[in-house]
Amino acid sequence: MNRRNTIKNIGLLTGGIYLLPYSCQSSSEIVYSNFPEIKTSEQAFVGQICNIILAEDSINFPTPEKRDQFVLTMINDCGSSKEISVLKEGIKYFKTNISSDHKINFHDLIDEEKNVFVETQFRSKTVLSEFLNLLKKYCVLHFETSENYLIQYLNFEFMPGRYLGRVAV
Amino acid sequence: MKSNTFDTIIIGAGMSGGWAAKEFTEKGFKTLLLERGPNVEHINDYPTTNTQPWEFKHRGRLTSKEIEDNPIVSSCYAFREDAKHFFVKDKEHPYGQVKPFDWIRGYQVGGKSIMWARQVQRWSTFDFEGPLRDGYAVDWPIRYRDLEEWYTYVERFVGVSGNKDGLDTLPDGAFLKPWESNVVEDYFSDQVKRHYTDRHVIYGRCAHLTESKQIFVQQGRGLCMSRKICQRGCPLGGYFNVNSTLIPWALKTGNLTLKPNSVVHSVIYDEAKQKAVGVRVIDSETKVSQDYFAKVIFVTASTLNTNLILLNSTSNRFPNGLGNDNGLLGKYIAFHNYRGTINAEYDGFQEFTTEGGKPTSHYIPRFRNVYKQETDFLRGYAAGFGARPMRETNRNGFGDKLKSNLLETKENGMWSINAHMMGETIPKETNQVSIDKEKKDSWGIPQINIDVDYDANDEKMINDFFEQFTEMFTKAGFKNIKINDNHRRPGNDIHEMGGVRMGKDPKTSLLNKWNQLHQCKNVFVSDGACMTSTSTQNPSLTFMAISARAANYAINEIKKGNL
Repeated sequence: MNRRNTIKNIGLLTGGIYLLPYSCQSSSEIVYSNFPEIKTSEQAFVGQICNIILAEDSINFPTPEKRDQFVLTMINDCGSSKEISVLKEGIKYFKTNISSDHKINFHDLIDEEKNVFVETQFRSKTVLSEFLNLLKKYCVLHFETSENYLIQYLNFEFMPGRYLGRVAV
Repeated sequence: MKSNTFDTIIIGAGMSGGWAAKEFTEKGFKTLLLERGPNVEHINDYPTTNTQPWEFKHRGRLTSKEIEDNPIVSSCYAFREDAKHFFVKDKEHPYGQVKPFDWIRGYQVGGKSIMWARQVQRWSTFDFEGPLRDGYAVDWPIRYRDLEEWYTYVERFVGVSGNKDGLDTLPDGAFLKPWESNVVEDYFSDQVKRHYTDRHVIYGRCAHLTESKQIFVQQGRGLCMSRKICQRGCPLGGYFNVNSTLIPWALKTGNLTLKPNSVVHSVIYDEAKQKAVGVRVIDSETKVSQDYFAKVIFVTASTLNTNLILLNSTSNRFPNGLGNDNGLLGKYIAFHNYRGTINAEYDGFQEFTTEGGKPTSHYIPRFRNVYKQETDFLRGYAAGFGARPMRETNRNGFGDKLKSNLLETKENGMWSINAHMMGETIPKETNQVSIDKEKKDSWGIPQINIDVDYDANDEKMINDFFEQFTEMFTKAGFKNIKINDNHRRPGNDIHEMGGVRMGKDPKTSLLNKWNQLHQCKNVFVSDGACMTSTSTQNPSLTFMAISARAANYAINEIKKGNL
């Protein structure tokens, strides 16, 4: 058991070192094969939006990867071509159209203004709403498959060793 | 030549081949067990067995590319991120589909026993008598009484959890204790008993260890811990697979030579000796061909591959495939009709929930056309049945509101109800496989062409399932009943059977009652290919019982000098 724990710890340490540059927002870049044109700054922007939709809570609901990394990985690997296109269009819209259509510079908004803007756009039935709902779908999946949520809220047990069919609520 | 000579050669290290290997090696016979895929060692080769759900990169999902590249295997419920490595990918081993057929395969030591559904219901007398009664297919040369002791023999080794239900349609076996039923399963069972005399809702017997016994300790297996991720391989040996039981058991005797990565090209027939003398094998990695020799050969390569091997085993005596004098080899393939599902909700028993997990569901044995023909379709269907508490999660909002909504997830007091049919399809000559005259696989072996489809009998059976289960659900007070024809393609049930059927008459069958080829007595076929009809039960237990019986017959015949 000790040996196994040691190996596990080495693995965690190695994983930690591996993730360090990403979590420190260094210049190292993750390239997603289905949208290689989306650069680090845009990935960080996706992270910002994800954080508005459902903020990471690494203390109470830790996950093996950061939320934006998970969301982008899922869209890249498992998303349909429509989802990939919605992601690209959404990022592009924020970059090019938002000032003219909404008379704002999103990056200059304070947090509360960003929240209000996102809330409005969720219901807008536009390319932005599709984009936000796409990110939300994977943000929620990331949260709902976190260890603590599964165990504390969905009663997940890896090795229950029993089945009780008549438990009083 | 001596190092290539054995007492017995068994082709295929799945359940049927595994049982033959156990029987031969235990009785002192030097046995060569050939497997076309790689070895999978119990525990060591279960790479995801202890992976937590949050540790999977895609949280269990397949990637879009995997789905696009594998339209066939990705249709299988168990081909997911956690167990995909145990399945044959579509492009690795192509085959011809005259009609759409999802051929789900597991090429490795242990075969599909690693990822199987573990349901093990015995056949009854009614199942073996089906073809005789309605005249479709041929009469089985055996009955339940011929197999009864072998069912018991297999169950005691495998470990089967079940209830003694006392039903003539589904004989009891040597059972370990069952898991608990839940309140709604019990309720539905009572309701069905109240409204029908011929229908029963029982615990689905499954190949899981719920009690420790000496035999399981000897196998090195522990109790099932209800993890419900069996398809990844169980490090505890809590469910039966070949890798944790039959292979190590046979290896321990010192009489087994296990040869993975060995693709069988054909069985070698000696014209002078008028019997099979060996097997031609191609190394899957080096592609070097090698012959092996033995007195007795068991072909248990899984239903369709067994057909392929025999069709490809041609000689002057058997130009159309080994034992194929009547031209029926590859014909009368049948499968199970899993197209009908029905879902509902129940708003009773709000004061109860469940805790933990169990690796089985409930089971409704066949009740149509059992004692007499009573419908406008032939044979019948069994059904799986399950009930579980429903959970409600509000995913509206964003930010803090979304999070607090997610944290308020709770069971809502309702129960989700589901059932799915398992229908018998009628073996027909037109449902067949053949070898392609031009296309060959990477090892120079002809590809197989599969020409199998549903028919009008299956459509009528689906409608009857919908009608009967809607009625049963309604009588039980279930609400919001929804029927669904999932239109799954043949093969997706993973219960394909036949092509080398057993029978009494060499003119209309390939195998006798001991699973010997009528025309080549030292070749036995005891996997799904031998099945004369399919009945409704999950077939693996019957394959294993037939294999153990056939192997012991062969052993006795060798001892008598008859083989």
